[in-house]
Amino acid sequence: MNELRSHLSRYAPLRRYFLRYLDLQLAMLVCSLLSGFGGVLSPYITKLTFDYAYANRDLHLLIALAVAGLLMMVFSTVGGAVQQYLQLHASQRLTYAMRADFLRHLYRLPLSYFQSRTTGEHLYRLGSDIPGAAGFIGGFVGAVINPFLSALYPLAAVLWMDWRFALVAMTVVPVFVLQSRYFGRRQRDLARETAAEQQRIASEATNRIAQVKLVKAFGRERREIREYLSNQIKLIRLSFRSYWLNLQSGTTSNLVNAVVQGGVGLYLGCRVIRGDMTVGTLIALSMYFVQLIGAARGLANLYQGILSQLVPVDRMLDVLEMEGEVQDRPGARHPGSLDGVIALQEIQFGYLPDRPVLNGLSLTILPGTMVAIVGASGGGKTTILNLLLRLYEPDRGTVSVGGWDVRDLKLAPLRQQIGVVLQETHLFSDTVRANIIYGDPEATDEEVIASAKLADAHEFITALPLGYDSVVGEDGCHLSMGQRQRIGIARALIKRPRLLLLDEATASLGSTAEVRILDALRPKNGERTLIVVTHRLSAIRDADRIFVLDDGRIAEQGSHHELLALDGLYRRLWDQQFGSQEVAPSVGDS
Amino acid sequence: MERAMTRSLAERLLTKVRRKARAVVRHRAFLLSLAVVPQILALAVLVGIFWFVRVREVLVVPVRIARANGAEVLRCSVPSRDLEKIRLGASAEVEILGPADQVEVAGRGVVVGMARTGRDPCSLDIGGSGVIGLVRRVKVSGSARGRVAVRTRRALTVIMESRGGTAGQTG
Repeated sequence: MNELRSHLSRYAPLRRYFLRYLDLQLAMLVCSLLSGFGGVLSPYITKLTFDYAYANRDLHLLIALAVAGLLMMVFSTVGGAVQQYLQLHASQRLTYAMRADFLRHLYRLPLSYFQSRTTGEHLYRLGSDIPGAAGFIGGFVGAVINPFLSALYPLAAVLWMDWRFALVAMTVVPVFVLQSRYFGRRQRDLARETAAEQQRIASEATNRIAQVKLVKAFGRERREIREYLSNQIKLIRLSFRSYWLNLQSGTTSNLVNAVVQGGVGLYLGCRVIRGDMTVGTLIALSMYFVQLIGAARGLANLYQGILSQLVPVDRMLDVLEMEGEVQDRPGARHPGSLDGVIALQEIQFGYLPDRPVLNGLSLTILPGTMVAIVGASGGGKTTILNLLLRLYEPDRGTVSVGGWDVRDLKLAPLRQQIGVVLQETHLFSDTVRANIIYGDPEATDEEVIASAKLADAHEFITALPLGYDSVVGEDGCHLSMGQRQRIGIARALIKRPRLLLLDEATASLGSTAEVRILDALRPKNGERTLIVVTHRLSAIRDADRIFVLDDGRIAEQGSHHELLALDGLYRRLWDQQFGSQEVAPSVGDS
Repeated sequence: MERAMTRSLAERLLTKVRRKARAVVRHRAFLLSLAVVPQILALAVLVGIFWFVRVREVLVVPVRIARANGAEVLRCSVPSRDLEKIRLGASAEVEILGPADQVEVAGRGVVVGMARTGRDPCSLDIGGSGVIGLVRRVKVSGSARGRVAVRTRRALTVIMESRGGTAGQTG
């Protein structure tokens, strides 16, 4: 009982969706009540036609019954159409509302969630699971009550007309129920297996086609085709299994049907011959019996049907139940202008338990300065930026701005003042202008151009066929890596950030261009704080302060010359890159 | 000035929300009526049709010419359960059957008398010179078998009462 209660309590958050269109669901119920009544009248009209209109040669009654039959048909057609419309109305609106809520929640989830799942999975949840869940919630009343109604109507009619036959029917109906349950479960399991396989194949194919450049570069086209086709063979095998199962189910169903219907026909026929039943009653009872069998089969599969309809609901709840990303604490304050000292104190952090990336790291960044973070790959340079952006929470220690722990500051205005450019610049398949103003949708054309100039991008943008209106292609595929990075920098700058984070953002630029851009971005009048993460030490020679990371801690810090003079890790890194030269050679954009 | 602007903005927003809510309520009401009204209407039409149509009862019974209140009538011996369905003044179609159940003559009359005894058989008198004349023409003396069709009860009543047993035909 407790287990059931806890199981049901999981679906409690869906109550608001359920209640939102309860009136429509009740209307659907009334519709099916009335349509069901229409359905149950039809066999009875047939009985009256045989017993009264034909037997007594009553033309008036025959016409009245024909009109009644026609009305019943119109009645059930209109009822069905209205019911479908109401269902569509409710489920489409629910899909809209649920997709909005789901996306809102998805964007609040931590990055670790996205790193452990594929894009295809999210798309499947948005595209298939949510409409499935909405359809289930929108048609819940009908889905649960309709099978009972469709069993109740013919049962009541049979009981009213002939209770002895009702008893006979009740004893044979379970045979159909058992047959239906036996094959229903197997068919459902197979359908699930097929759906899972289809999802896996589609997800894999999407991934491989998206990486077509890599496939071509490694000459793996034939292998990819072979793998795809071998997956298709699995699907074909599943289709054949499904066919055989359907064949077995259909054959046994027809066999049971023939035996039982034959027996029932014999029983009713004997009663007609004995004279205690009319031909019309025999026809009507046979029709009700068929309705009863269908309804019993529906009821037999109701529980399993609900369970399978709950699959998309569960998949949706799996995501909605996940704890969202760092949220504003109660009483969190607006950070104001981010022009205070940035400090990380005794930071302990790891993406996986027992594998710390930062191990008691402490550093202080003065406002309006340019600082650089250098160190070996995997040393935690990007992690520091992630913590500043509050994409992750430190396991221990504090990140503070202007003396305030960032966890006590409101997240949205904090991020609003931070501009970030990543090494892999992702662009939308849109115009150059649209990509730049993504940083500030209200920006004017003049501001767009000013940002592009500052990022050293204006020149190549104006050389494009349509200038700022040129479409950059999927993920900026029409541009070089260096050009993409320049647009990424312009996008960050248009926000006029108080804190600008460059994570290997100039790695694809030539060293001359890199120095030129960093020089342009360097805070002149303390208008921003610039933090640069880079491998290329030549670019950060003029930084006010350089932090050298080693083993999750700050190993050295100081200006370029101070660090060289220390003759420690920084010196070794410098020597590895440039030998004993003081100035690095120029390299072009990649 | 600023406060007035804020208020007017709030009022505009409120009007918009109210208008939207009214539209939603109207739409919902339309959908609900769409679900219920046509079906109720169809059911009402159905009941109406069966209320106006009267069912023809056919009785195969012995008939003979008799006198009632100084006039000649066709008197039928009818089971009491069938007599309950018939009312005075109802029109009746009479067919006199021959030895092989073939129709000898057919005529039309009116139910003029019923003797409800509560026991079988009861008697039903059908009047009308036409039908008597027809019967005389085939020289029916004493008694014969006839098929008497009377349109009396509302179809709705018949539908509500009819179950699995035999229909109104008696023989």
